[in-house]
Amino acid sequence: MPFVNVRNLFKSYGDAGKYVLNDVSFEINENEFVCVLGHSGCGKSTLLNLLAGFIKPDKGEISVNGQFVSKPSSQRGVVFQDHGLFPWYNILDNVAFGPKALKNKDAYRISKRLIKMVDLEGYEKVFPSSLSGGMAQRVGIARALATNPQLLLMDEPLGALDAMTREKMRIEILRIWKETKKTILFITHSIAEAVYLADRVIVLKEGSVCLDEKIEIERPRSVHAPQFMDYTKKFEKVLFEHDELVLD
Amino acid sequence: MIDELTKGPIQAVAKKSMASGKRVNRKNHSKFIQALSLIVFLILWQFFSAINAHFIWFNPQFFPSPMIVLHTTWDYLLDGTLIQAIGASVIRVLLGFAFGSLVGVLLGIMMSQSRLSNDLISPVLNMLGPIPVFAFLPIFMIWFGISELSKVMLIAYATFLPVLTYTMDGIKNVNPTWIRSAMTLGATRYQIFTRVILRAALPNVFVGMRISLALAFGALIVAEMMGSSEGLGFIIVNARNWFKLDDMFMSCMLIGLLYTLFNYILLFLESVLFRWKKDGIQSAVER
Repeated sequence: MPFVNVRNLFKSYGDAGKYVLNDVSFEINENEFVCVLGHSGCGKSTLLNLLAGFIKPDKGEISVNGQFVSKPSSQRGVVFQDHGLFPWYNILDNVAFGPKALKNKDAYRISKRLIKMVDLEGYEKVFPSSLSGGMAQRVGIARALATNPQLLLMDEPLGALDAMTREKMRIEILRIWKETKKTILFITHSIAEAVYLADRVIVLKEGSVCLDEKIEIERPRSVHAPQFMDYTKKFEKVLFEHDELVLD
Repeated sequence: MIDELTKGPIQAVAKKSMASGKRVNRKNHSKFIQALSLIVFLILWQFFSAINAHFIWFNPQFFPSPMIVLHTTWDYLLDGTLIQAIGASVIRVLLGFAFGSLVGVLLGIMMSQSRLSNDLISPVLNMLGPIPVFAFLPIFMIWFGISELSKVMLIAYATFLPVLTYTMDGIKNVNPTWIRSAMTLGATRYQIFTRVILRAALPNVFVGMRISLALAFGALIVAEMMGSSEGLGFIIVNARNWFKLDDMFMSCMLIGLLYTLFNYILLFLESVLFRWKKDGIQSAVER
């Protein structure tokens, strides 16, 4: 049984007959890094919100590790585009928020370990307003991992960062993924980012899955490698051409 | 590794301490200008009252100089009347302001959480809101007597409406990502409310309290002028009967000073409670 199972998902926002997500189905295996790639407005954030349990589908169902998703849960950690850190808590208290809410006696020990893992040791007492975008996003990742979720949902976490920081963060995210062995669903509109990070890329176009492609390149990947270029071109073709290219 | 990390926290701290040194200098400079403004004001006041005393454009008794006001204050201080008056006013305003703020916050929380209570209460508040607080004083005096209670209740009434409005506003405008974050971190509804929604709304509550503070002082003075035998407001109304303008000036100055002191206490509390805030023009541009 797949770890994440999304079956015939439909979602609309009031417009009669217009679905933001139109019969979306896919599976994710345990420990897999899957990127959902698509233009703005293609429904990828709606998909993440459904997986997180923030909104409910019109039709269809989602299960994670055999459990149906009906509401938000600490078993599905979310990293938000604007990091969503609580500005009134320092970094340590932000990361410890989840374990403390779950009455974990080791909340601070876990949080300190995660802060060290995202290379922010020494910043425990600093408030989020003093951090750079990249640093805040790493705190966001540490915070999402602090409740030890089965699945990590990342909603364009690098979207608000500059190009240099983005590149560094990609390496960081891969390192964290290898260390924690989490299943990750990563939303992005950057083709290069998807090819660089993912085991598999799901391309969403106008609310439907139009491509589900395994990336068969050894890590670490180079954007200049011919294979990398081939995948990039393939996704470009699907995203920018009017003809639907459905390989599944 | 990320650039800012290679520099390490030590450099960050050093940078921070340099920046905070600059900030302290700017703060001192600002305080000096503020003190200077008050001194210039007092000098100008002294100067005009002295000129008026010389040319007698109008009765000099109607425009006492700061020195005369200071002298009167000293007399009041010596015979114990001043301490008694300030004490009475401070207790009234503290009780009324605290009670009004408490009711405002509690009602604001209730109204923002329950649509029914909002629908039931807000039309009444919308109707009562525009009526000046002072119009209620005679009613309060009949309801609560000429005792302390009527004054404290009037101050509380003046305080509670802005606090309520700002509390509701703060709760309604909490960033939804914070609530979503808390949900995915396993927080219960109660935890989300106490650790996220209330924490996020608190700066707004303080804005409401600072607006209320001026209204509370207004209510205090009116209440003391109409039905009291002590307090700073009473000194004004009593002095009117004897044309003791210096007493009036003294009382007015003390009310201003007391308000400034209370406002500073609120600002201080804000600066301690909201250390995490870094907004506004100060953080937009370094000068």
